[in-house]
Amino acid sequence: MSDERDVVLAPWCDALADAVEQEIARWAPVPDLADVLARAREQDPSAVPESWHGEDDDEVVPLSRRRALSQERIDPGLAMFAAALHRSVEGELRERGLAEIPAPTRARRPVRTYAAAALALAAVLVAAFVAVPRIVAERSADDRVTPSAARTVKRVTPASSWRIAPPPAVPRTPARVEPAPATPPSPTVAPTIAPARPDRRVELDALARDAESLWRAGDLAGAERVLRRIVATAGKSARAELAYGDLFALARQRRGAAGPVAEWKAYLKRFPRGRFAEDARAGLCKHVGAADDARTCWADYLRHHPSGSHANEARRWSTATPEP
Amino acid sequence: MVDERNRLSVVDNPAAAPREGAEDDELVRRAVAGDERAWARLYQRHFDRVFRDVAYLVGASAGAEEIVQETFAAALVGLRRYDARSSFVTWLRGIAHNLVRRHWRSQSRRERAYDRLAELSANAPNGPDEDPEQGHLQDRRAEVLRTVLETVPAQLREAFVLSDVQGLGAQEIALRLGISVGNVRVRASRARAVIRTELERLGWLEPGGAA
Repeated sequence: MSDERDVVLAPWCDALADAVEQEIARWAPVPDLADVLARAREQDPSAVPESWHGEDDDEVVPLSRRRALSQERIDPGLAMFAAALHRSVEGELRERGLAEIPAPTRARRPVRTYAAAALALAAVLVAAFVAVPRIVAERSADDRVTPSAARTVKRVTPASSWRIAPPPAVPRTPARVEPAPATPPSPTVAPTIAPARPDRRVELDALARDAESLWRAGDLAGAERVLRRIVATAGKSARAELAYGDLFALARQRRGAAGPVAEWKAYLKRFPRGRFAEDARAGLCKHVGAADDARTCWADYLRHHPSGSHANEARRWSTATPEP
Repeated sequence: MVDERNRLSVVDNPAAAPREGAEDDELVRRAVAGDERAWARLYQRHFDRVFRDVAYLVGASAGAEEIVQETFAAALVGLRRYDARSSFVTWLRGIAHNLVRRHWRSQSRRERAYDRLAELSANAPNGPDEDPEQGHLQDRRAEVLRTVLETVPAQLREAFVLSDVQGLGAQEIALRLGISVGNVRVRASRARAVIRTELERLGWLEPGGAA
């Protein structure tokens, strides 16, 4: 303590300290390394190696803790709205046979961005009701033009479809803050504000367009290379997830049914509850070698997706008699 | 409670701090060389600590998390400029404090705080002899003090929170804020005077100091 405690204020300080400690325990912040990397890339793309994507994040926070937290940390003011919207969009997407949107998790942005987030959700709703029918029609046309086994994979939706109605950008902290000097920082010196760099999202969109063009032109290896760049740099963002969707289809097209095994594993590590998680788990279970491994794999599938579209097959495996 | 809070600060643990500082410097060196795991380890090691510091200053909230994430992002961007003259965690805290100050400036909550204080003063206890339910009184005190702090100038506020609420030593605060120990004491003392005056004006303290 900097000086003798003020005995009059001490009970007030203790009350505030107790309140803060309770808040900290209740809030239980969730580290998100991928988010840090994405923010750093927005400030200075050259500051973060392209090979970094935050997958070590899983080592940072036990998944069980993150799961528990995600259920209780949605901003109460937004929760009802988000849940209703989520249900509505889910219904629309299910009717159209598209992938589910992952369950909403706690907001990481400050309160002032909730309005922007609500706008983004509203845009998704508009997309579901207005744009998706058009997208589905366009996809049918696409499939006729570039037929491929990959495109017939149920519920694996190339990112290009989703880019038709991208959510509006949720603004991050607009300015860049220079780190404090190694010497102790002076509180009288305001943080240096530098002009924002070009938006990373624009770059990622350009990469996605490149991948799509290459794919359409038949350069599958080139398309795969570009998609890998996206997943390597887009952290846990929706863009990375959608790029994975395309990678699954592309890998299947290039290397057969078991082609995406490595991609499924990498995807599940980064998006254990992502929109393609069920398909990825099922795909892995269908391509494991030993029967024992398959049983374990399907049991894991059932644990995550008890009412999933492969649940019957999973139950058959988990109740099958082990070979002697 | 103060003991518990201090127990969590490695800086207050002289035996652990040098070893951890050396490990941090090695992790920084590896991260600068492109080792993602080293950066993940630094993030893991200091996330809770930085969040705790920020939470004491702005409350445990999405805003605090935002500041912590921005702190680590800014640190990553500037990692090559870290020269180990201070410990890595002190450097991180310096970034966090700059961001907290910017957060305070952007909030401009002083006018709303005065309105809130007017409401709170209407509910002030009649005097020290009044014995409301103790838990409720603690909650009210926390709420009132938090609101009063929003009206206190930032430099005084942070010195007071770090010293009197978080229970840190003057030396540690001086390192974090980049000011002298004497300056820490002056700021904390001035903050106490401002806060006591405000609590007296609101009827939460009797003139002369009884709660």
